[in-house]
Parts: sequence; structure tokens; C-alpha cells
Amino acid sequence: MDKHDDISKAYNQMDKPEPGKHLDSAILRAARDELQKAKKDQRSDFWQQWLRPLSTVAALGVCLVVVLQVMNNAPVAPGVEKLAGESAATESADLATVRRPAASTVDEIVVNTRRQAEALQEAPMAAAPSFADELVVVTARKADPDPIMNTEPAENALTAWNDGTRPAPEVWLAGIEAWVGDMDQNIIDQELAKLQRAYPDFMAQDADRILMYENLPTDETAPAGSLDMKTMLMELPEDTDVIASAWAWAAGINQLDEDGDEKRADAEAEKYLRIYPDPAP
Amino acid sequence: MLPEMAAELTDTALMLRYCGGDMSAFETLYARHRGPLFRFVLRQLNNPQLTEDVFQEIWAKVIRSRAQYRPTAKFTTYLYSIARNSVIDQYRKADRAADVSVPQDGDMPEPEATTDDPLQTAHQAELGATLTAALQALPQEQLEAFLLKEESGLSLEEIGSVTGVSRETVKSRLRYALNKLRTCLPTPAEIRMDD
Repeated sequence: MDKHDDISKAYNQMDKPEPGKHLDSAILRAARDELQKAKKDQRSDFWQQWLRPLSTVAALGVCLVVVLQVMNNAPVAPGVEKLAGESAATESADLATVRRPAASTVDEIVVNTRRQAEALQEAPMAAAPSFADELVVVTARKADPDPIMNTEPAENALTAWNDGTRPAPEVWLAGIEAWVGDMDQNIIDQELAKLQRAYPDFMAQDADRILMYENLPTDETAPAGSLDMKTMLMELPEDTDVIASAWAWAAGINQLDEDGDEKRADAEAEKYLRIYPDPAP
Repeated sequence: MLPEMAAELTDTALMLRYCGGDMSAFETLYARHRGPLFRFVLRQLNNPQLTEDVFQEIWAKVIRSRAQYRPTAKFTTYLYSIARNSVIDQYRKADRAADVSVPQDGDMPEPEATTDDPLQTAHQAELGATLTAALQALPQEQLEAFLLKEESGLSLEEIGSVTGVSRETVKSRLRYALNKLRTCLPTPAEIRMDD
């Protein structure tokens, strides 16, 4: 080690060249620049990593907002607005407070507009609140494009009536007629009474049709054991608990009148009025 | 970080701090190693201009590869491994005899006077020139081992790690180098006769 120490000592006594200051400043500047570049890269990496997910979320959010906006603030068709304006003056005070239901799709708005245009041509409809028909048509569209011939609109109409709305008379009557033979007669009678109260003029025009009850069994076609309205009317004792429905009874009375049996018709009419004082068909 | 605090930290800790964005840590680290590293390169290349380029390249590599730096060994080992590879690259780029010339007068930095005694100064200058010539005469492996020992302060094992040889090989290279240098240097008797 002495040998090494000697050489080491001699080496350390040599001059000790060092890098110039320009070299120092260049290297330190490079080190500083590298740090700043790294910070920029970090920011860039952050955006590269999150830009796509953030964009997707933002786009979905905008779509969701637009859909919700369309659903909550669907524009009302011009025809509907016009009818609403015209009918507002004739609405009853109770119905005036009922809120207009919003149409949920464009198809519904189109159907509503068509129905409103048809309704404007019908005098009885002028008295009805405009939005009642709209509600019935909207619900009927899902089952059948022709609400008049479908039974479901009437059911919906009943529901609508209970909710404070009023369906179109044709739709209402079509549903009631479809119930004849299947539904409890009391319910049918109640619906007819409600229909008449709501649309007295319409009921007067279609009274014959309403009272015909073509699908009721007759003497010739009725199977054994089924109800015959004329026999029922004549053979029912006055103190019986079984009574005919208002409309069937009225039809039977009319039939007696047409047959020339005015005496029995008057007697049945008197009984009828005792049982059904209001309304009288 | 305060400079006083940085001075107490190890090289590895300073490098890690620089990796974390602490510029003052790098300044301290650079101040520690700039001189020895510069001489390590200069004594091998014997060309100040080329040495400056290689020196700058070495630190540029340290700066660029800071993200990949892992404190698995001493920072000095890491630094001198880079330096050694850079010097070897220079050897490969050009033939040493052709491109890495023996420094002429004025090429090497002027030695600083370490004493006021003109005789002693002259003697040191003569000794330095003799030793420089002796170093240049050493084989590359022996010169490398000698410079790593003198400038970096690495142990034999660490020098072996830098150069990729065993501790015994390093020891052997050092012994050969010292013997050759000793034959070139004047003996104490010769020095006394000169005086």
C-alpha cells in the first residue's frame, strides 16, 4: 500500500482540471428544462388519460338532458292549442281546474290533432273539454287505431271519468255497447246515465240506437233459460227483487207501445219511473 | 430544500429528490461529482474539447434516464458506469491513436499554482507532466481502474461492478498500473539530486 499511497499522493498533487462554467450552466439548464418538460408531460398524460371518458360522460349527459327536456316539455300541436282556447270559455268550473295531461310522444300528438279536428266538426263536442278527447285517443291508440270500434277506450273513458276527465261521446257509447251481454247491467246503466248527463244532445240524437240493444236476446233467438225482456216485463210481480235494467226495461216498454199494448206499456212505464226516476230514457 | 440539508443527503437521496422534481438536489449532486467525473474523462481522452462533449453527454444521460433510475446501487457506481460507456463509445467512434491525441501545450488546462515557492511549483509541474505522460502510457483497462480508484473513491468491488470484472481482476489491474507509474516517476533520491 505504500506504493499506492506514493502514487496516489503524487496524483493528487497534480493539477485538478474542472469543467468550465459554461458547461456547468448548460448542464444545469438541461436538468431544469427536463423537469419542466416532465411537468408538462404529466399534465398531457392526465388529459390523454381522461379526455375520452370525460367526453363520453359529457355527451351522455347532454343526451340525457335533451331527452328529459323533450319528455317534460313536449310541444302541444297547434290544433290542440286552438281547441283548448276555444273551449276554455265553455268549460265547467270543476273541469277547468283539471290539469291538461301531456302527450308523451309525437305519434300521440298527431293522433290527438286529428281527433281534435274531427271533434271540431261535431257540435256536441264543442261543449266538452278539449283535453278529455285527447286523453281517450292517447290511450286508445295503444290498443287499436280506431277508438270507436274498440272496447278498451270505453274502459279508459270510465277511468278517465273517474279521474275528472270526459271522453268523447262516440267513444264512450261504443265502449258501453260492447259491454252489453258481458258486463253487469247496473254498471252499463250507470255509464249510460253518466253519458247522458255529460252529453244530453248526443244522447237525444242517438236515442233510438241506444235503446235498440240489438244484441239482447229476443223471443225467437234467445236460448232456453235466457232473459226475454217482454216476458220479464209482464210476468215480474211488482214486489219482486229482480228488476230489469233501466235500458232493457225501457226497450221492453217501447216494444209494448209499438205492439199497440198501450195499457201495459203505461203500467210498465209507471213501475219503471218508480224504480228509475232519473234519468228517464 | 435548503442547500445545507441537501449537503447532508446521500447521492441516492439527492437523485431521488431530483426525480421527484427538486432542482436544488440536482445542483448539489452535480457539484459533488463534476470535478472528479470531468477528470476521469479527461485523463482518458486527453482532449479537452472532446472531454467537454462527453462530460455533457454523460449528464444528459443521467437527466434523461432519471425516470428509470432505481436506487439498487450507489449513485456513484451508476454515474461512472454511464461515464465509462460514453468513453468507450468515443474509442469506438475513432481510433484512439488518431483522434484522441496526446494533449499539446495549451490543450490541457493550466495547472494552478499550489505554493508560492517557485522551485516547488516547478517541481510539481514537472512531476505532473511526468505522471500525465505515465498515465497515457498505461493500457486502457489499467488506466481506467486507476482513475476510478483515485477520482470516484469507489471500492474494488464497486470498480469491478462498473467495469464488469471481478474484484481480483481490478486489484491486479491496479497493481500493474501502480508498478508502471512508479517506474516512470522519479525516485526520492533522484528528486534530492535535482534539488
